[in-house]
Amino acid sequence: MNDYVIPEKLRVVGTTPIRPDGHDKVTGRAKFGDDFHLPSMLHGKVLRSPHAHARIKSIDTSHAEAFPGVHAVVTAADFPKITSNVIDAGEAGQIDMQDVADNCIAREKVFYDGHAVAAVAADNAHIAEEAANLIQVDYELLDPVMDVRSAMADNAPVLHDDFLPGAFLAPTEKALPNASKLELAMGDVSTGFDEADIVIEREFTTETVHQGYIETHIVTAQWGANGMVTVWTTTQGQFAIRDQLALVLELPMSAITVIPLEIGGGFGGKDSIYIDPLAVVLSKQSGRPVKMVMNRAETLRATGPSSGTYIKARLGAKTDGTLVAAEFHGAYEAGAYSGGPVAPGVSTALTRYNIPNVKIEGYDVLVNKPKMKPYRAPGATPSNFAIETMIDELCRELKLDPVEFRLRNALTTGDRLVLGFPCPEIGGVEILKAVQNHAHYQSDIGGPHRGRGLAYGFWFGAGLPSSADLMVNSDGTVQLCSGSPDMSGTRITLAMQAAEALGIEPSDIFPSVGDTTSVGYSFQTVASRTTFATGIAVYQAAQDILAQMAERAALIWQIATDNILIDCGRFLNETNIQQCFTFKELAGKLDGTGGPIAARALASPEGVGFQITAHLVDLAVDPETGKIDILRYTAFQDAGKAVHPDFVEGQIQGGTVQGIGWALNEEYFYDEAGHLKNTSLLDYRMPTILDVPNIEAVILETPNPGHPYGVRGVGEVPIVPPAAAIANALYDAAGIRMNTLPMTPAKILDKLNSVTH
Amino acid sequence: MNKQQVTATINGEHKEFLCEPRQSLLEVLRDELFLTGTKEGCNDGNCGSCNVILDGTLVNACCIFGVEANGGHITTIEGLSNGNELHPLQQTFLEGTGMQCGFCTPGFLIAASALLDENSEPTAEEIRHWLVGNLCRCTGYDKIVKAVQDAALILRERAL
Amino acid sequence: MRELTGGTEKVAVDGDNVREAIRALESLYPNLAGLLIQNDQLGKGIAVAVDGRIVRRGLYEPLRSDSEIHFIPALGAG
Repeated sequence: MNDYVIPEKLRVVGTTPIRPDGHDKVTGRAKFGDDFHLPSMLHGKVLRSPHAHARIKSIDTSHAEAFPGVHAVVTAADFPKITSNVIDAGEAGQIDMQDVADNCIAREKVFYDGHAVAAVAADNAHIAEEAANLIQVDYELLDPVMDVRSAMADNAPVLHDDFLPGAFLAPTEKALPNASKLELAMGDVSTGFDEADIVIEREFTTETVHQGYIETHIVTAQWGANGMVTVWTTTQGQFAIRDQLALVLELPMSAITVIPLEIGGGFGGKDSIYIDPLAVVLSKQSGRPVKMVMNRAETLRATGPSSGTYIKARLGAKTDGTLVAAEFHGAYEAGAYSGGPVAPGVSTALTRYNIPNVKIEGYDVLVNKPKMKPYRAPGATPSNFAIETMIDELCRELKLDPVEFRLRNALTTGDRLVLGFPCPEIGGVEILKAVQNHAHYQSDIGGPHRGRGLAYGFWFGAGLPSSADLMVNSDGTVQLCSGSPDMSGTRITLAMQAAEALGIEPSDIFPSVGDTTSVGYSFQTVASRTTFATGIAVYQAAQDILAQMAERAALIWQIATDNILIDCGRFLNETNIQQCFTFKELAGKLDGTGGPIAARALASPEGVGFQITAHLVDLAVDPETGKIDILRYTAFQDAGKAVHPDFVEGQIQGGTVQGIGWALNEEYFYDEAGHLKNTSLLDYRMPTILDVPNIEAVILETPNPGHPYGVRGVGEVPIVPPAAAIANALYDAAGIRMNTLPMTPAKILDKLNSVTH
Repeated sequence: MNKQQVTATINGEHKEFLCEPRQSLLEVLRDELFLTGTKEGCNDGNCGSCNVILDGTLVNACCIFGVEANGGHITTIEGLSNGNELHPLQQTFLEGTGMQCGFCTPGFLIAASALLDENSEPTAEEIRHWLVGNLCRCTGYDKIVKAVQDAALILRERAL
Repeated sequence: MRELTGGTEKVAVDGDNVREAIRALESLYPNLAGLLIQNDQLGKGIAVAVDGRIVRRGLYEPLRSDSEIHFIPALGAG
């Protein structure tokens, strides 16, 4: 595949038009998951396990079934027992459908507090909940294991007897209970460490956190009399939901239609099924549509949070700051089923530095918590916290400026990644220099108990399949339909790319999101891929439209199509420049020259532009309470090409604040029996508007030649460096090194007091 | 559970409805009156997605019973604009990209409108203090603060 | 993978596409059999990069005479 030649000047890309779906959102008209209603709809509720680890001995649903107002009750017995089916998701890995099915409703064992055991459909949600509480489940309690190190210890309680721990590219070996291993290496670390003038080794632990999307999970399902299923839901991927439902319920994929409603946040947590199959089977059994809503407590208890970790790392450097060796061991919670973020977590730990000798070991560890799900850049935040604070320590020891140190070691275009292949176009050096030149970096920090910290972060991103349809209306306006749910403004960024390619205005394009019957297959809106990959599908469809329209112009002028020159929405006769149609004019002639024009493209682009960022933060710490106040925050990020700069800023600011919450406050508290104690947003404390200052976003652009306008994904990397940047600033302010997340006031105070005594 | 009859003025319109005593105002607005602009994010007063104005006071509708609204005046997001004419806050949220997924937006708009009714020239600090009960997970809040400041300016200019 | 190839970092093989290259690799290093290809597909958790790009055609990606192949863990995203 050839690289694109990116135009020097862009007309629409880089501007800031208003999103066409915005009006509905500011007026409350936009339909999110729970805003959808059908006549004679029932409401479903789930009975969830109160135990973190137990065997189900029996379930008696008779009292629930007899409760007035109840129309259907289901348990795992009402679902087919599928053989292990794997969905291939390209570079995103594979999904074990048997695990997905078991996660939706427990068959033999429950693996976490909140694991679904049964579901009830009734006239309203209150009745459904009351009836569900009448279902009697006989459990045989088992010991839970709640953190990675306990789970990997000898004699740890084993979650899955049939779990075959393997290692990446090595045969399965039952070396550890509950964990499989991943190894990557480059060069020879023992030689490398011998050459080092300074070696530091540190350990870190980070707690489980949740994506915290404000809208919870909601599904409405209708089993049609003819066995055709329709599902309306808030999701990052309508095709993923469809495929997973088909496999879990053993239905043909074509029998299921999934209609994506507006999505109130996802960040990786709404990429697969939870209550969807329950709603479908309840609908089948009751003969009525069924809506199911997971409330906040259920969402926190029973939907994929993001891994807690244990990390041990070793870095070796020369006195001039050259990194010569790095060893990284990271254990990442997988939750109740294998397949957590260990691969991206370890692969991004060091990738942004050019280190000749690297040894990486990652563990995917089963624990009695919900199956872990991506939270923006999965696995990367804890890894970055470990490495960037160690780099800060090296800088201090060697008395080197933190930017200069990173410049000395920065990965540049063509350098070998630990994954083996050379790094594509990347602007890491430019980012670091931008930090140095910025007023924030050069300003005086001022005041006691204040400090400044820097962290440098990396994330991959992905291509994966996307579909886009373009249809030209006879008045010259254009319909754009893509398969990518719009989490944060991608309707407008796709419409802008279509406008750029076609040579028309974004206001002439009406972008919509299709359901699984109305547009071609699209992978989820994840991995910072939509503006990139769906953008390429849009671009390709636009080229097809232009080619078809050129043929029509050639027909009208009775010339060869080769003689048509297309210039920014105008079609010209090369041999007679007087002859010219605007896009609108030619659109008006389509009916008379053969009929309407439409084009579809399904692209799986491979030229992914990696994401790179640096975060600079000033903070003040209160020595009496341990509370941190963030005073100033500047995030520098490479967007490749910012299609809509305001939205790019928004991604940077939003991801940064999530990272700040991860750094300072957020964690899951489980008691010894494995019950989640903080199941409300009061006690799962996310940043409020008062907790953060303005976040200044500095957008740099090293174009990605894999995209026609140079676009890189931007959505994920902002969450990667805040924790490390804040930890480094705290050291600068108070001389203490934190090695755990979150860095709560209590923990900071403990550390401050232990240092002074 | 016996339903009670409730009468209230909602967005300037006289409404009568039946609700069970256990139903929250949020549930009544969304499920009985189909005013789904007001959202449920947590159902226990911690996120502000369900903000409405009841008798001049900014409240979390999830923490009020439907029957408590009897005889009251309620403004929801559906009542913020004047027909097709957007409130300046709605306009500045649109133009200033003050939202991404848009789910928390109705709550923020109602809360901010209550602020601007009381304080026509709030500082950024005052805006942040006022909106502390509204959670947003997408935007990082930066553009929300700016949108409120911009709307305050528009309203002040109109008043001149 | 170096443990599986007796410490060799770079291995040269012949093949028109990735699948053929893997077969050639397996004949050089028999203990690799069954790791890269399972059930006639690219093994679970494995993605393949050819000349610096993770390729959608996987086993069927055509190769040039100087193509570089890397087998990497499948990376997720959110």
